[in-house]
Amino acid sequence: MGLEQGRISATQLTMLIISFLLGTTLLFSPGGVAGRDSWIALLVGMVEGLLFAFIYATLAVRFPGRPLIQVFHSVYGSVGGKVIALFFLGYLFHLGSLVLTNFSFFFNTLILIETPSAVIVFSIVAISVYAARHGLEVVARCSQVLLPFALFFFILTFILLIKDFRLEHFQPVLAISAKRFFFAAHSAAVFPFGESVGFLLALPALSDPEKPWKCLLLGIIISTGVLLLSALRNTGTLGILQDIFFFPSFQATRQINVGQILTRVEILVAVNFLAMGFLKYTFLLYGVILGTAEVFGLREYRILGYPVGILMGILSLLNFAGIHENFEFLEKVYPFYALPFQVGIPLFTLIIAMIRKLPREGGET
Amino acid sequence: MILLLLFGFSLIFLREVPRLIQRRYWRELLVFCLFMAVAMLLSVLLTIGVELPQVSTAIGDLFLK
Amino acid sequence: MFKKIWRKAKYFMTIAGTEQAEEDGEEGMSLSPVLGENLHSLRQRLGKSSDIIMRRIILNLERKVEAAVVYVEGLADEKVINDHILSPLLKVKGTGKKDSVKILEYLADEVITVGGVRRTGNIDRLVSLVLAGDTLFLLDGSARALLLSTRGWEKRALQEPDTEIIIKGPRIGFVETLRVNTALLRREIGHPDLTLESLEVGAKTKTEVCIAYLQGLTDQRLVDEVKRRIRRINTDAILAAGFLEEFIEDAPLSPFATVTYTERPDVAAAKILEGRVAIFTDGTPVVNTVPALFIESFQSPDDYTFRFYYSTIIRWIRYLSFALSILSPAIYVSLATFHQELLPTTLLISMAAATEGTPLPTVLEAVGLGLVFELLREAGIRLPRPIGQAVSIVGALVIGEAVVSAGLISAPTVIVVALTAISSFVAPVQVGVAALLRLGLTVIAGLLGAFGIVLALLVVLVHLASLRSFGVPFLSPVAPLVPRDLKDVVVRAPLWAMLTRPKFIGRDPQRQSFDLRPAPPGITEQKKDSREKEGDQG
Repeated sequence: MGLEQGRISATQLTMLIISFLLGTTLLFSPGGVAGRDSWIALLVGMVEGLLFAFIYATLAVRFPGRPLIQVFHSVYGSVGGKVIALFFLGYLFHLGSLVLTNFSFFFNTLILIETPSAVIVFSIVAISVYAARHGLEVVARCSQVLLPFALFFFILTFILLIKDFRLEHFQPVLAISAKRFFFAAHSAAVFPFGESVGFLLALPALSDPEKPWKCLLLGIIISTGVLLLSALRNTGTLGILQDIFFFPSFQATRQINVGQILTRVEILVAVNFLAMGFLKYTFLLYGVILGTAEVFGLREYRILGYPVGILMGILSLLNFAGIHENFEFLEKVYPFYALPFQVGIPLFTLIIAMIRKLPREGGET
Repeated sequence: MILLLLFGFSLIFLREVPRLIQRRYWRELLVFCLFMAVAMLLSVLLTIGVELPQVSTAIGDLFLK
Repeated sequence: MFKKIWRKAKYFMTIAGTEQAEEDGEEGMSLSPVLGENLHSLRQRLGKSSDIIMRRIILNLERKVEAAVVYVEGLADEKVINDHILSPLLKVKGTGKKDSVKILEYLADEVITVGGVRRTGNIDRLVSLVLAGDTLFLLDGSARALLLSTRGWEKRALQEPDTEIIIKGPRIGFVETLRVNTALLRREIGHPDLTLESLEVGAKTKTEVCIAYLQGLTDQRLVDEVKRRIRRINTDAILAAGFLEEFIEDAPLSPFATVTYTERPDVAAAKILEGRVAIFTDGTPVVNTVPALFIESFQSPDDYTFRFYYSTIIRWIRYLSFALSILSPAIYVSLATFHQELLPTTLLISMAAATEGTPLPTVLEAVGLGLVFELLREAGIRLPRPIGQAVSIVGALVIGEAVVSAGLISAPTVIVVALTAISSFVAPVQVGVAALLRLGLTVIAGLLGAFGIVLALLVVLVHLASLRSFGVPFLSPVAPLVPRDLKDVVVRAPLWAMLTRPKFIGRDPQRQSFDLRPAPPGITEQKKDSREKEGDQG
């Protein structure tokens, strides 16, 4: 029995996964390195992401209902388990702070230019702490309310832009080097699909422990569909120009102009980003405090909400000197940096568990 | 500015600590105070304008080398 | 320090406990066989109040026997007392019994022509029932007395409730008398499973509280929980249903009410039929129902009597107007202060022209005018109706017009606040919360713009998602999502298609059979067959 008392249904988890995967990707186009071919890179990346999800689901099904930290303990022993767990949580912690950095860069660049970034970051942190302290059930419910709105707004902007699509923007297809293309596909797999590794912490709270497969696969496929539309929209409207913008989705939505009346709806993109990114960050915060509480053997995780949230906020202010470094990190470093955590730790744990024939019969923990 | 910061932190302490003491959650209290101390130290350093390293840029440099 | 506070709280709890124990000790007092003593102790209990009538009579039986009738003037029906108690008693010539106790039984069984007769010897019970309007009959030589049900005080006539006006449906509302209300409910639900259980709350007011539910359909744990929460109320006064609400809520500090209320028997019946528990409080023409869902504030009985296409549209208009009523001043302020670039150019120019020369920033204009609106609303409610309308006209038309032409407040602000005011009346249950949210959102929009609005909405959402009402998530069936319950949320499905009750409330989910969709006689059989097959699969 873990620290999380709440239980969520498969539908709730799927919607939470979709919100999580769309969290920052509605602005930062995954696979953007591939330029006009990013939509193909996205599809290839999805296949790789599904392979990742395959590892996570196998691991979760092997240890049904067991919190991740306990799994680490039984696989690596007490000390080794703690070390691995801290590395893993450190990655999620860093990821959460990156989400906050994305927030502050986006809003500081385009919408609230004069507001200090600390104000933006810590107001989001405060709300996320408030939500994460209520536990997984509440976070999942929030995603069930927010996701339909976000999808509605997204599809609305897509439809309004259809008339501006230029098919020639997609040509020539696959005119880039194979190395560059596969690198783009891989970065799409790592960001966002591989980030669903965080859900290893939430899968034990699933009311039906046999369903992690369904949730992860459905979540990845549906969010790929949305991202595909987003990539098509960006390429279709902006063409090769999309490479010069930081936030092509924002720029594409800016093009909307229906009879001079319905214009300047790009605020919808910002709202979407805020809502989905909030869910992504809240889930990461929740995962980190739940995992940390388990590592330290605490009796409740709520208590860590404020300190961990504040630390993430501080780290987000220290991440990068500017937005250029952020994009450089995302494009060049992150596809390698994330691999040990997204693939290494889960795969290694799974292999060792198989070799040691864990979990054993007879309640060994 | 520093006063505002300390005020915020003391609000958090006031909200969390009594409950922990009442339930005799000493271990939780210890971990909580540890994290809060780090958070306070860093935020005070940030506020008074000490140059702290850029974490992710450093990670990136590590990888690119 | 906190231990000290804790100890103090414990101390108070023990004191409260002992007080209750003393009261329990007194309850054992019973009547004596001597009439004079009984009347004396009753007088001691009831005090010198002038409305308590103690009428001593002498019965001419085989021997003369002293007796007395005690009632409260105004609460008991004097015509019933005269015609059905006093006159038969005074006409009795002989009973054939000698023992006073047997005489009392004879009188109860063969002389007195009142419906409800109870026998008791407990003085406390006597007193409380006399104060509730019953008539007490005491006979010399008997340690037991008769309590005759003669309750009949002046009641308000049944009329259409002012707060929930509907077009197509019953025009009847609850009144202040509990038994009339429960009777109205019985007329709606004829099934014997409808169970009414009474509890008494309030040490001084002795308010009767009655919970109603359908045995078998309602979750027994819910009924027990409602009873537990009502029983633990240990206060002196429950004057209205609102008092009870505050004592049994799940989230006492939330601005959202997690207990709903209605003034209409048909609405109360519909909620009970979905598996909810209704709570009647004597003295209030309002019935509370639990568990409450957020979505209930947007449902009206008229939704189910109009065509369902129209009802669906109306329901969406209600959602929209709730959103407008909390958001429109905030969005206006954020557009005018932070995001002018988002407005179409022509609109921006005309707005800038209107705002030119007004002294206050837009936030203050919106907040101030919003407060004026709340003030007018409150004045309109409290004043007698004709004057109330006059106040609205003076307030809305005269002040609104004058303030703009004097250049104090810009015309767009007045338009936005007026729009807000109108839309806030569409979901009347949430008016209080809407006013609060509106104020908060407007202020934060003035500080942080659209970013602030979204953040504030997220806070509200997290709060709503964390609420539960008697175990049921407040936002269900949206979150947690129950697709089949969306038939009464996203659309209003035709009644013959509403096959199931809400999932989280009640036990037996199926409401009706599958093949209720009406069809003309010729093709009925054929269609019915195919539909039955579908039903089997489903």
